[in-house]
Amino acid sequence: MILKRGSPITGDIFCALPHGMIVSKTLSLIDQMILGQPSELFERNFNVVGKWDLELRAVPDTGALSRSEIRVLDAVFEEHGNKSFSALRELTHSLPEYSDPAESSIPVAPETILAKERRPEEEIDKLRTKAAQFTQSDELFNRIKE
Amino acid sequence: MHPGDCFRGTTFDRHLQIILVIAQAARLACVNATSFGSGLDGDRSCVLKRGDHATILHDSCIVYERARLVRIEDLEKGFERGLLEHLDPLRSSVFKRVIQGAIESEDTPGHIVNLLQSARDASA
Repeated sequence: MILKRGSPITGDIFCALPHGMIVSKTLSLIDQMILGQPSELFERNFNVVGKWDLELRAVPDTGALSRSEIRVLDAVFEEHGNKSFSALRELTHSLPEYSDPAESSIPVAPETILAKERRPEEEIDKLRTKAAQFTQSDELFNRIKE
Repeated sequence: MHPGDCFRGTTFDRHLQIILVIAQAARLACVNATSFGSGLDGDRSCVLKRGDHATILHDSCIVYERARLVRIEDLEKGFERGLLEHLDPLRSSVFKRVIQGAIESEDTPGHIVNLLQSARDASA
């Protein structure tokens, strides 16, 4: 979605971890679930299966997603949904934006993904502007709620 | 507040915000416009031109991917606290283009498309 639209679907932060690329806040929510301290949202929607896996309890509400986002998610699931942990690890290690974080984690900004894909500087600048506008807009609506 | 009404931040995020539809649970859906060339020029489902609204000085797009539901109470507080200001509403013909664009855009969140289609069905 970043290569197509310049913004991620999740709104989460991408990070490189030793086992590959992840979305940071989502991984934290999964970890909490596996450790037996689930958030209300995750407890309502997922079951822990075995030691590391989650399964959906029911078909989730996809109302927050657009048609283009659902298409991308379906395509990603079609291509990668049945891959094993080791296959996904190998795949994400081969992505140009991945760099070995040793035992730590390295945040990967969306513009880094575009740069590693050799997108033109003008496109990357537009992405920065877009991200800044999104942040401003979110900030406005957060402030009025305070 | 009604569909077609407009507002913006007074000091922070001065982009034109347009109320699309009033939703259940005292919420409404709104979306903002922005000039082409500012980084958000991917969605051409509805192009606003100079004259479509007093704040539109250059060709602008509607950022449908960021259409959002907001509590009406929060907006009212924003106006009371001076964080938001009312702007002239869109003319009916312009607002119809904005709504049509929201329904057609591939990037509008599904729950907002559903609200707009329900509102359209109810008024038909």
